[in-house]
Amino acid sequence: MTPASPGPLPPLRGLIAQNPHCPSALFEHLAGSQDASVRAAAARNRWASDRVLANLATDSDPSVRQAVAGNPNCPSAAIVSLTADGEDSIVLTAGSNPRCSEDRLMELALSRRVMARVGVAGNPRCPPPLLERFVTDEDRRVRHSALRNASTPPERLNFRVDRHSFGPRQLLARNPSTPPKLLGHLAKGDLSLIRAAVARNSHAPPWVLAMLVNDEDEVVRAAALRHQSVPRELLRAAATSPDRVARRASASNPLCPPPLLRALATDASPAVRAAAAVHPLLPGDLALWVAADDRAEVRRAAAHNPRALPGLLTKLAADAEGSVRVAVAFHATAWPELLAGLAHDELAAVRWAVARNSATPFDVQCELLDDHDPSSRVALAAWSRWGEILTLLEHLSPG
Amino acid sequence: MGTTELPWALSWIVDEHNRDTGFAMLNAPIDPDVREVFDEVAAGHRMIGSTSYGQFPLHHEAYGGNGGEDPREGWKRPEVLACEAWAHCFRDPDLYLPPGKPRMLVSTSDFVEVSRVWKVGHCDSPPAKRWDLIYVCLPDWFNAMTKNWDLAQPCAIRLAKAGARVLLVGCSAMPDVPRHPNIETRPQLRWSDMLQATAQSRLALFPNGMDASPRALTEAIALDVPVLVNRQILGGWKYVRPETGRFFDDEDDVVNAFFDCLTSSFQPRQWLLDHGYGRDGAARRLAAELQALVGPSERQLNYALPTSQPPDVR
Repeated sequence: MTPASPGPLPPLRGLIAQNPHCPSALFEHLAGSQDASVRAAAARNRWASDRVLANLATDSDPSVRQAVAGNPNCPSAAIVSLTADGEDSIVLTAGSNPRCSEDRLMELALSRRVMARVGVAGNPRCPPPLLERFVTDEDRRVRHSALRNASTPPERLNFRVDRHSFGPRQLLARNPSTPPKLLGHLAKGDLSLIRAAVARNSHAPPWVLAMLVNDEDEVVRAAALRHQSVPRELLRAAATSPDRVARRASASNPLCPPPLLRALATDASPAVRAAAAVHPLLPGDLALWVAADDRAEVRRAAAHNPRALPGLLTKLAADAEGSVRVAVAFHATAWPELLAGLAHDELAAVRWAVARNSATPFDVQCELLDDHDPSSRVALAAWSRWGEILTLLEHLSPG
Repeated sequence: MGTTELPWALSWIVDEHNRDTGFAMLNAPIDPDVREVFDEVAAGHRMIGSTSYGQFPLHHEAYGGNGGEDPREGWKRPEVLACEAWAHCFRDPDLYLPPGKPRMLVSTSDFVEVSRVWKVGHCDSPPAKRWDLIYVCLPDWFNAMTKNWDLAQPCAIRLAKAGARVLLVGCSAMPDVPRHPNIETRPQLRWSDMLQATAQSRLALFPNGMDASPRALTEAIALDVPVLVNRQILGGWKYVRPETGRFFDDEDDVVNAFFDCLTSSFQPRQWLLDHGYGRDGAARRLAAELQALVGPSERQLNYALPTSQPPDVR
């Protein structure tokens, strides 16, 4: 298998520098590394101190400054300096950072640098008066950035859409602040890409979704039926419809009621059964039923159901299909004993997944360091997880 | 003409010695500012249409067409009429191509420079895998549409919640980027850095819908990175085989497909080379198609490479 191809150790110092639990002494050491990729990793760490980030904001390597500019906890003073950086991409990132102060946003809004205005127009904390101005900016990229911003006042998004080209219409269709009436207008359009964007809009109202559940384009009607605001009666109708796409999408709706899931979990189509099998609201007795499905994709779906019960995971951990056991070994609620059993699986991919799981006990991880997989993938995974701790210990030990 | 670098909408087609083959390629609609260049190229060459720009040669509003018109009106454009054959990417070419013209299943993305991509992506040695999946999209609406950012977001969240480590490249300044501890973002990267990040990923994710010629897809395959591809992708579907990756439909089955990939055997790079892809393989296939157009002649065409660089003057 190609993903198993042997290779060197992952860039551990970078991973450690990015780790939110990295001790401050070690973190500061790594933030001063000669290797720019390690410094950039430190600059991405959202728990980095203001002092370290301020220092990295003046780094000679643009990838480090870029990482500081994108850090959600970047100190305001560092943001100010980065919005005046020589690199446009850094200015864009810094301008769109929510930590950028309102005063600086106001200054940048008057900048002649287009990327500064694009960044401000996309900033979720951009003041509405600025966004109103950006909607009619002379540069298309700035206008689009404002149309995409959920903070743009709905009244400024209330366009005569027929006067606008495809790009702005699609941005409006996506924007959760677009007025419902306008979404309804966009839902009637000829282009399925725009109707699909409306159907995916988190604020699409039920009456707009009702227009889209029978759309000729399967992507559109699936998105509408998957939406949590779709009217319940339409969801029920879709669940019994001859249209496989509609049944599958209704099985994926986060609010699909358990009685409907019960019917969909025994659907003739494996794709529909798989959608029901992964649904968090699937009743426990049915979860055990789908775990015995003759199709691997259905059992695999059951194995990555976020609310899978221990009995189900135990059963699937002994599944004949390796990919099902991999999904169990990946599961966030897999417990140490279950993982210890899977650590002896004949399939390297299963042992590899065990080595990655944070619930895997230390002694099992140590065993996996000596795994016999010829590609070394399992040992590498074990090493890259425990290697962080070993490296920490090495660094912190006296001498 | 014949010594000038061409605009993106046009390509020369040269042989293995960089000589003009007498053919040229149309890649996109001709804007008024390059109409003169087109006329000059078309006057001295046999034109081959290429479908690497959305649904072109159909009209589509997102690709410069006017709203409300019949997409097939696009076939009446003079540059489209000037093409005597079409190198295309479509599963169902009748829906997209004008009738009555010879067709060949050849895309710009077929011409990936496998050795160069490998060398740039791997630096000195094959890198360790740092991420499970990589997705690349630049933060403008056109890329967001082509690379299907609307589907990429829910896919990334579902994969991250399932425990996969996801790298989103080009998306760090997007206001609607999904937030999860298993999702990392990067700004737009240089081509070499993007290839290196791809090589450090177990899979490359392509939720792309309107993408006719997904070059990043063949680059991932050239790097021996298997691909996870939206079943509805316009072009690039032909590269998805049991040896190279898997299709998925939407966010509802992307995690399932991911787990399936983790226990599957892939040889993407070898498959690419064995099936006439890569610059030289594709150039030989295109040459065979062009030779069929000219029929038996004195000059045997063995190699035909589309390029923006001007041919050598004999």
